[in-house]
Amino acid sequence: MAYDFKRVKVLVVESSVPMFKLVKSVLGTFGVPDSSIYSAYNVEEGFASFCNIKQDLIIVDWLQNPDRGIELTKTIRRKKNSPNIYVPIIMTAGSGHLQRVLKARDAGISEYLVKPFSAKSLAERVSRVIEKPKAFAQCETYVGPDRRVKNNGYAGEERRLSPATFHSI
Amino acid sequence: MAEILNENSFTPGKLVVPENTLKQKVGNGGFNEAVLAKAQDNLDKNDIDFRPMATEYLTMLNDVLKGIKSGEVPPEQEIDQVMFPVMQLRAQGSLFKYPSITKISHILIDCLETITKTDKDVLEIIEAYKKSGQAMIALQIKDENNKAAKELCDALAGACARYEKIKPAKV
Repeated sequence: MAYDFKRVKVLVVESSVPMFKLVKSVLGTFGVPDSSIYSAYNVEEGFASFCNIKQDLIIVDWLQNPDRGIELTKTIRRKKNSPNIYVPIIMTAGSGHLQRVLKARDAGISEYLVKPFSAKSLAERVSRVIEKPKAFAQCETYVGPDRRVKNNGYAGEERRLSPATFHSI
Repeated sequence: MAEILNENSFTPGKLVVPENTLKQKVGNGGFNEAVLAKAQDNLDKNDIDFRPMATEYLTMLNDVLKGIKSGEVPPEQEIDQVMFPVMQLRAQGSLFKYPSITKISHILIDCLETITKTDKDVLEIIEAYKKSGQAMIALQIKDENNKAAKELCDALAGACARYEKIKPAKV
């Protein structure tokens, strides 16, 4: 038995039509019906489509002028009228530079995929959002998957004050 | 939509475990190896002509370079505006059978990701990249191991390395 994507709707936000076709062909082979793969070529179209269709998964390119894919991610995560702030978002980009990945992470993406990509690498990202979804952190400055990836504990001396000690000062 | 603020009033530091609707829809079992192989085959066998797209991105890059030289592009946007077409070329080159373009774009991206503003030397490097890309497309140099592709990539990598040595304060 394998995943069954028949009931899954995916939004692909890509500025390039050929790239959209390529992503669509891979998703189609994964089993997502053609009619359930929605395209958008910019942020406005993407958010409008998401508000209308409420897709289960979003694949968004970094896009242009500058960081519009980041803007779309923040909009989905933070806008009051966003239909699902928890929707998994996989960001794709032509660079895997650390600062870029951190910027995407801080916008609230679920996964990051460097292009050119293989079918396996896209499948791995999709598997991760299915099998290992992170809890969502929600605060004034950030809404998105918990950004902490490791919890190694702390072996050093405890220097923080307890609440009682702190309030007695 | 330009300015996005957190419009929802959340409790600071709240952690929420959302319902996993995607998992509920797809069930268990992961991806079938045969499906992955077929998907990769579809990727590999696509017959999309990369040249018109590549030419469009190289023209876009040329326009950005002109804009930077004429002062039309705000200094804080220079690198971002250069990066977009170069990232697209890197992303799409290999997928559309031009690994040579992916390789040379990767070299430029590595160089640009460490700087925040252009100068005369950086513009020359970008110009050299643009000309190399144009040559690869015009002569249909697809293979990254092609002698000419290697020479163009090595020349650009050399220029980037020299720049990083000369201008360490900028990185």
